[in-house]
Amino acid sequence: MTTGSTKDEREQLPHDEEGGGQSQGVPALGKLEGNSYHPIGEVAVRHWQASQISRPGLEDRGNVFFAAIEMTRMPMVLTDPNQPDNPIVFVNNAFLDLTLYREEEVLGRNCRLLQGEQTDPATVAELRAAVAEQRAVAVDILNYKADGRPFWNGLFAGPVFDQEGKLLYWFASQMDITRRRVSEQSYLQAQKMEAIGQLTAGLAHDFNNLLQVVAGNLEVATATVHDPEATLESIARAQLAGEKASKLTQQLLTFARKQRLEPKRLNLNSLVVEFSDMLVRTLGDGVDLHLDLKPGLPACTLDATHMEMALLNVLINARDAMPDGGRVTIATSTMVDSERLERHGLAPGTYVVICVIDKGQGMPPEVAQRAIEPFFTTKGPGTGLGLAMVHGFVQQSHGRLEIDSVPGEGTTIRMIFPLAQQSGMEILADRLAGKGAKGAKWTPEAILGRRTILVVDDSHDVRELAENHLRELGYRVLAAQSGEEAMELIERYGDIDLLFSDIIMPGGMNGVRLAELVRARQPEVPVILATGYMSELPDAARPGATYTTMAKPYRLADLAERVRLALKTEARTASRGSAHGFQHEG
Amino acid sequence: MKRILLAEDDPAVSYILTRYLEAAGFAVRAAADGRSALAMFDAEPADLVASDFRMPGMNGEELLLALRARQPDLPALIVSAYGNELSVQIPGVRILNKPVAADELVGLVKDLLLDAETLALNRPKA
Repeated sequence: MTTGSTKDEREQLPHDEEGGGQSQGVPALGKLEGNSYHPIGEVAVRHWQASQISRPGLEDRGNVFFAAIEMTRMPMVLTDPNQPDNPIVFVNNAFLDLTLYREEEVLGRNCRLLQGEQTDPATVAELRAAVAEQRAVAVDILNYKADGRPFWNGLFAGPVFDQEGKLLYWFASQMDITRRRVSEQSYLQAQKMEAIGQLTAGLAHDFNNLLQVVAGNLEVATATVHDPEATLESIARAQLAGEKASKLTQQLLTFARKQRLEPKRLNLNSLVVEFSDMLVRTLGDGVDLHLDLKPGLPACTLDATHMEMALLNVLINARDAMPDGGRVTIATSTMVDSERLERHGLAPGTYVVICVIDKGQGMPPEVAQRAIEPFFTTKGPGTGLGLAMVHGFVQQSHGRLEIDSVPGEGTTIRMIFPLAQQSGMEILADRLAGKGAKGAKWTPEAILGRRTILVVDDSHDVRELAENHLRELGYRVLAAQSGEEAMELIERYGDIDLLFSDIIMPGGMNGVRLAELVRARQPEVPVILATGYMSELPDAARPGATYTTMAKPYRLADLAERVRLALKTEARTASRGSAHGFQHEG
Repeated sequence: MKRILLAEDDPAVSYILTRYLEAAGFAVRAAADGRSALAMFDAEPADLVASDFRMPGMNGEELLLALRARQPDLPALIVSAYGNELSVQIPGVRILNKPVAADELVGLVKDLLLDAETLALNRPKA
């Protein structure tokens, strides 16, 4: 959804005057284009988002404009916010055609009569907020017809004022966009099928190799059964290949099943690295994938699955542009060039760029211009949806797609995305780096409040439980799902005040090893290790006397107490060396 | 002892194919890609070449063409994970699909070597 200008903003904007001042309106200027799709064809610039009229009232029905309202096939509504519950006071005939209500069933009622079970409450809340602020609004909302059938409504609503600026009416237009919504979903599905098709060939290859290793080693094991050591070794090799194979299916299934699309904070570098297996498989033998990732790339807020599919699509194009093979580069960088941003209609600032560069055939300008058009394709079996989807996704993510192509030299596709809002961790990182403004005057309470705890647990739920509880207690919490990830966080964000880690975690680093590594950096840092399997630990992995241990399952209250005690001890230790040390004896 | 040159980029697969062939009494040298296989062959010839198809740099077909340019009657086979989709148009080159069983591989290798011996025996003397 998008909202129009505020009252103050509207005052600054040019007004259209009609009929020698009988009415005037503020043009929408493209502000109400929430989706990549434009409901009325092109960007809506000139239609009014708010208006002022000189002759209020609904009685004047003798002119051609009233006839136009009743003749148009665009559903329209007027409500009266000066009456209790903002009831509908006028609907045109197209509205009745769309909703199947009779006029007397809707007059006097609030527009919420169109809402139903599956209507998204968040969308309704957004709508109400805009109405409360007297700003225009455009949303896609699921509404219901009189007979109970749902439809997607591309709703626009804008306020109508009198000449003194008093709110008189709300005007709203509706549009049944169900087919568009459904076809967007099927585009997505078609895309996914295409991508999966591309992947399957490569996967079959990898699977056959793994089957070879499994079957082969089992055969060897059978032959060496007189030699237990050799047999065990063969079985271990077969198991390893089995694990690899299950990881492979997991990847494919994750990709095939991902349905819920929601933007999240993510780092494009990590996304590219994690997805690179799939990318390499898709590119096949002839094409080498080269990564050129800018270190320290800021985060973006994007839907990861969509992003992966966009990348896959662009890469498939790059591959197809190089039938004789070659090299494709995926590069990330930042963009601050204000002139270039302005050309794209982006506000000045820093943006993250991910680009795919090929040295393929390139496109002549007339093809490049049409490249993002749905169903436009130059490839034999292509659907013509690849770049169209990519473009849609980039627009929806408030970014821009840039295509540079020179025939015979190659193509560069750039996706430009805004930065994510700064997260707590980044604010913390800035502070640790001394960028914070008020670093000098920390009170003991503030210091206590700013204690940073690193929580490490491979179970998402357990980690989140501890994380949330500690955060509620006022600590700053960093969370990681493995020892490796924990070390990465410390590298990035600097010293911590306490480590709380699970002992048994998959991967190379268990909790005890992690604690050793953290202590190597910060010898005094308190460590609490949690485990449900204390007795089963090999001696080498047993925590020494210097770590506090906690048996699983633990109660959050116990955890809080351990953390408090550990931090208190640490604070006392630290204060010995400093005259202005922290002397809290809670 | 017959010498077999094996080209296979996946170490786990290379290990298992080597085991198969060694257990059958062949001397195996394994290369991880086409180029090093060529270098090994140039250093010391082999009686038969078994190659993977998909390898970095040079695929199995390209490797076999390069080897046949050196020794036109070299017995050769490809072990591919691409299944029946692969078509290699080099005369006399047989294709096995992964996963391949030991007796299948060894059987084919012996067969190809016997064929080669037969041909050598019957080659008209210059």
